[in-house]
Amino acid sequence: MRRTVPLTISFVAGMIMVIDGWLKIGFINNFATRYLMPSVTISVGWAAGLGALNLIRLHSRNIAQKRLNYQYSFVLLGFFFLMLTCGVFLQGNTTAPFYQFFYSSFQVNLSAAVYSLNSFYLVSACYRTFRARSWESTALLVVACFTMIGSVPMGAAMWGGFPVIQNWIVKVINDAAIRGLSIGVTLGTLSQCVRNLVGIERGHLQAGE
Amino acid sequence: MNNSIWQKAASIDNRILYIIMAIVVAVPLMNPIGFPIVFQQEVLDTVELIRSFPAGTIAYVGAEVAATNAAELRPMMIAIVQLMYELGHKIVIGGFWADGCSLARLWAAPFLDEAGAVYGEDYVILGYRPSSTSILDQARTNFIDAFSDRDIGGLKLSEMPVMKGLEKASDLGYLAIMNPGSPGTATYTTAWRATGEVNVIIDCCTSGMYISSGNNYQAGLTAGLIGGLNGAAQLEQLTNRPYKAIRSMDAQALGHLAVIALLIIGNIGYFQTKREEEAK
Repeated sequence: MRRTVPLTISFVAGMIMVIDGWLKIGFINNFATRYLMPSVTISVGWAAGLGALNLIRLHSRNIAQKRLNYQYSFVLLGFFFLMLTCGVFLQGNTTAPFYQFFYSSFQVNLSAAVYSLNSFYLVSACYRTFRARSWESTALLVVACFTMIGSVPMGAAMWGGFPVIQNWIVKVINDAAIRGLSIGVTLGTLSQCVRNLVGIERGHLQAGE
Repeated sequence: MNNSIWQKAASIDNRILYIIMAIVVAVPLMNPIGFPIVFQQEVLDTVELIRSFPAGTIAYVGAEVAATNAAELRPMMIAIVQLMYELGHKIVIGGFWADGCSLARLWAAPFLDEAGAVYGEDYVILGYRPSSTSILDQARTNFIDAFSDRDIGGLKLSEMPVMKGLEKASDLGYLAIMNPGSPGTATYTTAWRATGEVNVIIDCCTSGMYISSGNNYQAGLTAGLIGGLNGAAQLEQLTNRPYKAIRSMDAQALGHLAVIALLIIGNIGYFQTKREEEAK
């Protein structure tokens, strides 16, 4: 019973969506659009709420048990409740000035700053790993150099052939490889979907067992 | 133990690498060099495609952005909405990344307002909605209902003049999707292109997505392609609105050159060290 009911719901809902995608049958199309699709939006909304609760629980425990670096949990929870208060309770929505101030001055800039640090790590990683140790790694090194130099205007200014070679690498070699990869991934995804739909794949029903 | 110069070249300290990169990127940002922009055919074709739509066309901008991809997608979004407004297109901005619509409000809205666009009449920013697939599917039959009849600030979409004539997704003339990953262009392609609602999708992708986006463009799934900072710089140049992308291209160019130089130094050091060790 614990498995049959969820599997039946999955199968019925899945089949309605499959039929909705392929055929024009009024009541099925209508049911999918008016009821099934909004239920997905509601589920995702609940999942976000669940995530927020989990975050509060985890960091409250960090503070209560004084775990390693628990002071960062204070900062996180402080800003979490500050944004929540500003966005939801104090001024009603995310366009409110107080919310916008914290959002544009802190969150946006900090996110961009943290991400931009990646470029430094990337340079270090490139420098240490791109060594011509074998034929394969030499090919990778040469392709990387041509792609980097060909994708910026300075490359074209140095020699007109750089962008042509870069373009060829991207449009011919890369496209062919990516296309093969995409077809493989899509076929794999499709087969996984069918396995879920007909109940062969049951891993998601075994939580806690 | 004294390391030879080759050993040092093969293992430069991280701090030195970081300092070199910081200088190489920061200096051209502060003092632009002005390397000439080389145009790609796909960007030229994309701008022509946008220009081919008559005034009054409703264009959808997918603000699938986060602060992390601001360097590439911010100038691209600004240039594209400015071009749309100049051509008299009505602009509907939406997004399924949590920050997408808020960032569109921060990035694009000031430029539109400065150009004289009126919010609600010339452009609108839809609010964030979770679950892109279900919302886009609902928008196929009722666009306003799918977005709960509310914009980012809670105003009623059904009362806005910009939404006149936009009842379902097929009323949109074309889409320009900022594409850093998923949700991104592929989400809209599956929801609206594959179902025949919208035939023209312009993929404005980050350089990281350029390979897969180029593939979709080559296959005809998307009608236009503007890729990475390079594409954004070309767009700025083509629309005569130089902004951050053109300036940043110099920094990117010198950054790439520095990485190549470091790769060459590292490899020379590696081979010389190996030769010295073999000689011993």
